[in-house]
This record gives sequence, structure tokens and C-alpha cells, in this order.
Amino acid sequence: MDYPLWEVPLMGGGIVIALIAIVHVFVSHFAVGGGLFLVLTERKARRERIPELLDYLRRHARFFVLLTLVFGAATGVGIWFAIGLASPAATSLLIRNFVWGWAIEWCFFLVEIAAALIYYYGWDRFTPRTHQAIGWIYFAAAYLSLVVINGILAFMLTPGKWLETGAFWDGFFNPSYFPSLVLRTGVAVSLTGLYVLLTASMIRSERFRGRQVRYAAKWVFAGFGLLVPGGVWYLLSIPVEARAMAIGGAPAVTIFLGLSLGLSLFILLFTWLTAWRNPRQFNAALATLFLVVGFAVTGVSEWVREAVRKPYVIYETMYSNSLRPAQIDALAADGYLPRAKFVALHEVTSSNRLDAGRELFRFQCSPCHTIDGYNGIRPLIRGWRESFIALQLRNLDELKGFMPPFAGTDEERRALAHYLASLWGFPPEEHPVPLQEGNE
Amino acid sequence: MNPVLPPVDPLPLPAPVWLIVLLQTVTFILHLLAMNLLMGGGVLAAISGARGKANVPHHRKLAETIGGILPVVTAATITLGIAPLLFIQVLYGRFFFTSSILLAVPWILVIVLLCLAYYGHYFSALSETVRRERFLWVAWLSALFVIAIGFIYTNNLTLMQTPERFRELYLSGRSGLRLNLAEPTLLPRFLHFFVASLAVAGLGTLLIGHHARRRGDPKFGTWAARYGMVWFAGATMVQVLVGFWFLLSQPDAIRAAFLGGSIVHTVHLFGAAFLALAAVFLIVMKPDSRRHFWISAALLVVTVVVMVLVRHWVRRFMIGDVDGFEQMSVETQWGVLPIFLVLFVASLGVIGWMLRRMRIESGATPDRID
Repeated sequence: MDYPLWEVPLMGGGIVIALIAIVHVFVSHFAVGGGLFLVLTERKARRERIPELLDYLRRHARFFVLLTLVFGAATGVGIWFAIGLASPAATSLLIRNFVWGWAIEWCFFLVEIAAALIYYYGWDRFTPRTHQAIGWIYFAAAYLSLVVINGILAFMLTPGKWLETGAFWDGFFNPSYFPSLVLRTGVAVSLTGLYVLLTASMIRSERFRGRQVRYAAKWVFAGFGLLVPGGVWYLLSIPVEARAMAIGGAPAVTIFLGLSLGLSLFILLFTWLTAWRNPRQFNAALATLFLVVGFAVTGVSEWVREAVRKPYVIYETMYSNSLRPAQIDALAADGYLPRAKFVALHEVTSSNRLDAGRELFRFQCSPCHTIDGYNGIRPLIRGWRESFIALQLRNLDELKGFMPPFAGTDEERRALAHYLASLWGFPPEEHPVPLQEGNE
Repeated sequence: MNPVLPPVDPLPLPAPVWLIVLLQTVTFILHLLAMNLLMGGGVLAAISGARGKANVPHHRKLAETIGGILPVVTAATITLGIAPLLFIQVLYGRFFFTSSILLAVPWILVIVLLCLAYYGHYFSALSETVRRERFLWVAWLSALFVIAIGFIYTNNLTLMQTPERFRELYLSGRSGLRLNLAEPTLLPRFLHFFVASLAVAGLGTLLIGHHARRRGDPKFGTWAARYGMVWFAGATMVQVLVGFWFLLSQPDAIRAAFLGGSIVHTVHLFGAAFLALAAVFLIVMKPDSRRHFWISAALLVVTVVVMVLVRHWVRRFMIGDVDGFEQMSVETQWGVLPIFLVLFVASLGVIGWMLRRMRIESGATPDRID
């Protein structure tokens, strides 16, 4: 209502965020877990005096730097750019509230990036002791940046006591903070296992390859050891409505959650069957397949995490369309269009109903719905009569728990219905829905 | 002026305005210096790459040296850019988010260009000379992408200062597929940054020359110092013209303030310009003197600091009466803010320690198992 709305044909702004966020999650968790892998493996190589392991690590480190430093950092900034475009009001709220959290994360990020570069460029320059110390500094900084950002991410679904106090730490250490941290740590460790499977599978020496592949498999298993309890704890910590959506309430969400679990199980099972039991036969094609499946798990899991938050972008504080629950009554009385800043028209008249309805659709609906693309509204209201749409809009949040209420006067609601009905050329009103006021 | 603007965010500011402005300014200066090296360095690396390909050995060596540094400079530019962007969103969110949405497509394209330029710089840095020169277009393209990112930034940061245009622009097209080309200060402002980048990269090349001389390559070192000097001095001379153009393109009231209308503003602007020219004079007088180099580098940093202040004042002139600062309540988060300040200092300390160890141990025996 306060900001202009960025129109992205067929996708909507949400999908732009999702596309960047999914690749970022996939890479950034490796940036954390992979740091631990580097230091632990370097220690092993030096203690047990295995020169080939050290050579392998050096090649792996280059891959690690090129992937996490470049792509991880750029997509991280990319999410921030995208949320500012698609959800400016929510971004502003998060920044106002958590700017020092972000600033703290930035300090860790500074150290993380510097340590990664110094670690990478310093292979031949440092004594082994200092080199490992820098590796530990890298991992500590990377993990601490996760520890910080996790608070802000978890806040959006479970703001907890912050809703009453508005205090930084209440929002930060919110009800799903620790479960989410365990879950993300598990993701970081298991994803690292998958990435390491890929670099290990490319080792020439069969004996050494077998050893490294098995070592990587251990990382996958260890990650799952955290993922399972973390996942259950997380599901228990989120709001009842959100959990209900995930476990049957909203079929699409449940199917995606099932996919996430099923594909994870696939990875676990086949890592055991192939990498663990026949490590020497393990090859790059299999490793790539596992990574692709891992990416799919990341995608569907992130989608579920976003979906269960509906109708909110910040739980009980701001709806997906940037309106606040506390605003709804006033908007119903005084109207949405007169108050909205960047709409083309500020009132509904008998001659502009179609345009007014389109404008309302843009600002209130298109944060989640496109016309014909992702979550397209046209197929969703196929054949609906105008009077029926108007009725649906009146009780939107009750009919569909994952949608916010319509915000505006009855006149505006009818204008929106008029516009939506126009998408199917106004289906005939053979049995108009009685629409007298006050018949609820 | 009564522009259509999103309202001030209802949440209180988590620190006083002056502190956020201070942090934004300090971190922006750091970002600016890294960005200058990246943008100018990319151009210089590509030019020397072309000259090196034509078998000029000094240029070949310079292209390799700068090219080897650019990935690290890219990392520094991005990392140091995050903090000022964060603080600008705290203070000017309603301006910045709105202008970003108006330019959404080029704005999000920044991320794509950044990835490509970053990988391009890595490609050149990790390639042997033959491959680097065969794929010289990669270096050119990376430099070009960085310049394009700078241009997009200039578009956004000029647009955010003209809120009176927001609504009309938005209603003329909502997909964010536009630039701020109608802005009269756009081109001089962008050129101001671009030319400054060439100057700073020239100074960087001078430093490369000094290092080479100390490490026993006096021929290349002396050449690089001279070559860097030419870029530094030449670009700064051009900057005098660009600077005047930039000043003249400003709205009347601002131009008048910086041209004698306000003594404080005028003194700062022309004082900074004078310092830059003094830095050039020192270098040209004795290009081989390390002392002169460090003095002019210090002068240049002071110039940048003052110019960033000038920029801050220009922004205050443009949107100071609608920025809503006086409507913002302040509830300083005392439970978190000190943690940040301590960690900020500590993180610089840790980075300093790592760099020091690298310097000390660089002479140590290479990678051994023990």
C-alpha cells in the first residue's frame, strides 16, 4: 500500500526471491560445513602424514573458494536486493529491528571472506600450524554468521515474545531459533558431504578415492544425525496453523514436505548403498546425481518453509501483501485506494470499476498471484460468477486460512470482483449469490 | 515540495541518526576505495593485457599483476559495500526501496553482472599468460560489467534523491524496466566516479611499481611507477573538468551553495579538489619516492573523506526537508549496539593479525607435513 509494486510477468516477485534464495541456501550451507571439512581434513592429513590428501585438499579448496566466495556471496546480496524489491515494507521492518544483528553478521562475514582468501592463497606461505589456525578462524566466522542470520530468518515465522515487547533479543532468540539452528547445522554438514563426494569421486587413485568417498559418506550420515531431530523439533516449534498446513492442511505444502523427506531418504539410502558399501565404484556421475537431488531437497524445503508462513510474511505482524492486521478495519471503513500511495486512481466510480479492480488486484493480490503464470488467478477462478467472487472476497481469510483478508470498502471489494470476473468474460449470473449486507 | 512517498517506518530507529550516518560514511569510504581499485584496475588490466599481447613485456607483467589482485579487490568491494547499503536502508529506506523498485530490472541485474565479472576476474587471475591473452575479451567484459554496475548504482542513488518524480514514473511503467536517464546530474556523476577510479587505480599501479623495485625488478618497477603516475595525474586533470560539469549540473540552490553561497560547503569542496591536485603535484615531482607516494595516498584518502561529506550534504539539500528524521523516534538498542562495535574492531584486528602472519611467514618453508 505504501510502496510501488514491482510487476514481474508470469512469475511474481516472490519467485524471483525464491530462485535466488534456493541457490544461495544450497551454496551458503556448504560455505559453513565446508569450512569444518577443510580444517578437520587438513588436520587429519598432517597428523597422519598423507601427502595425497593434502594435494586433494588444495584442489578442493580452490573449488570451495570459487563456489562459496563468489557465488555464495553474490547470491546472498542478491536475496537482499530481491526482498527489497518484492517486499519493501517487510524488509524495512526487518532492517529497522535487526540492523545491529545484520551489522554483527557483517563483521563475521568480513572475517569469513578475508580468512577464506588468506587460507586459499596461503597454502605455501604459512607454517602448517598458522594455516590451520586460519582455517579455524574461517569456520568459526562462517558458522557465527549462520548463528546470527538464523535468528532473523526464524523470527519471520515465530516472532514469539517480540510481538509484545518489540525487543531485539526477544525477536532474535525466538521459539524456533534453536531448532532451526540444529536443522541448518545438519543441512550444512550433510550438504558438505554431498559436495565432497563430488570432489572425492574425481580422485584418480582408486584406493585413495575409495577412502575419501567413504569419508565423505560419513559427513552425509553425520548431517542426517542432526537433520532428523532438528526437523522434528522445528516442526514442533512453529505455530499450530503453520504445522497443520505442512501435515495435511494444505495438500500442495504436504506433498512438498513429503518430497523433501522422500528425496532426503533417497540420498541417505543411496549414499549408504553406493558410497559407503562400494566406495571404489563410486563415480562423478553418481555424485552429481546426489547433488542434484540435494538441490531439489533444498528447493522444496525452502518452498515449504515459505508456504507455511502464509498468510503472513512476518507472522501475525505483516501479511504477504505488506498490510498489517491492525490496518484492516480502518481500510474496510475508509477504503484502500484513497490511502494507497502509488495507485493510478484513488476512488471507485461507476465508470472506473474495472480499472479500480485491476489496481486492487495489483496491490493486494499480485504479491502472491499472477494472472496466468505462477499461482495464476485466472485458472483458480474459472467460471466463477461476479457475485460469487464478491462473496468469496468478503470472507477470504476464513475460507482460506493461508490468505489475508481483503482490505477495503464493499465498493472496492465489488470492483475487485468485477475485474476478476472480467478475466473469464463475466460468467452469466444465472443464480446470483444473494449479496445483501449483513447476512453473515 | 510535497512528493508521494511511503510513510516513515513505524518502528523506532535502533540508534541515533548521527551514529548511523557516521557508520554509513565510514564504511562507504572503505567501499569506495576498494570499488575504485576494482573499476579502474579492471580497465588498466584489460589495456595492459592488450598491450602485453602485442608483446610489450612490461605491460604483460602489469596485466598479470593487476589481474592477480582483482579477485581479492572484488571480494573487498562486495564485502565493504554491504554495510553502507544496510545503513542507507535504515535511514533512507522509503526513498531507496522506492527508487530500486522503479529501476527493478537493472537493479536485480547487478547481481548477475557481479557474478559474471567476478568469475571473469578469477578466470584471468588463474589462467597462464597464453590463455589469459587468448581470452582477453574476458578481462574487457569483466571491466565493462563492473562499470555497468557502477552506472546502475548511479541511476538508483540519483533517483532516490528526486522523490517528486516517483509516482509519475511508476505509473508510466510498473515492470521496473528503466534507467534514470532524464536526470541531469547522472552522466557527470557517473563519470566523476569512473574517472576517480582510473586515478586511484593509477596510484595503485604506482604502488605495484614501488613493490617491484624493492623486490629486485627495478626496470619494471620504475616503468610501472611512471605508468601509474601518468594515469593518476591524467585522470585527475580530466576530473577537474568532470567535477565542474558535475557541479554545474546540480540544481541551482545546491550549485550556488557550493560556489560561494555557503562558505563551509564551498571551502570543503574546493579544499578537497585542491588536496587531490596537491597529491598529483607530489607524485609528479618525485614519482620514485615512496615517501611522496604515501603522503599523496593519504591526501587522496582525505579527499575522498571530504567528498563523501559533500555528497552527504548534497543529499541533505535534495531531500533534507522530506527525509522525516525528526519524525523518527529513537530507541537505541543498547543491548546489541556495543556488541557490534566491539566485534567490528575485533574483526579488523583478526584480519590484521592474519595479514601480519602472512607477511611474516611468507618467507617460511613451503607446505610441509609435520
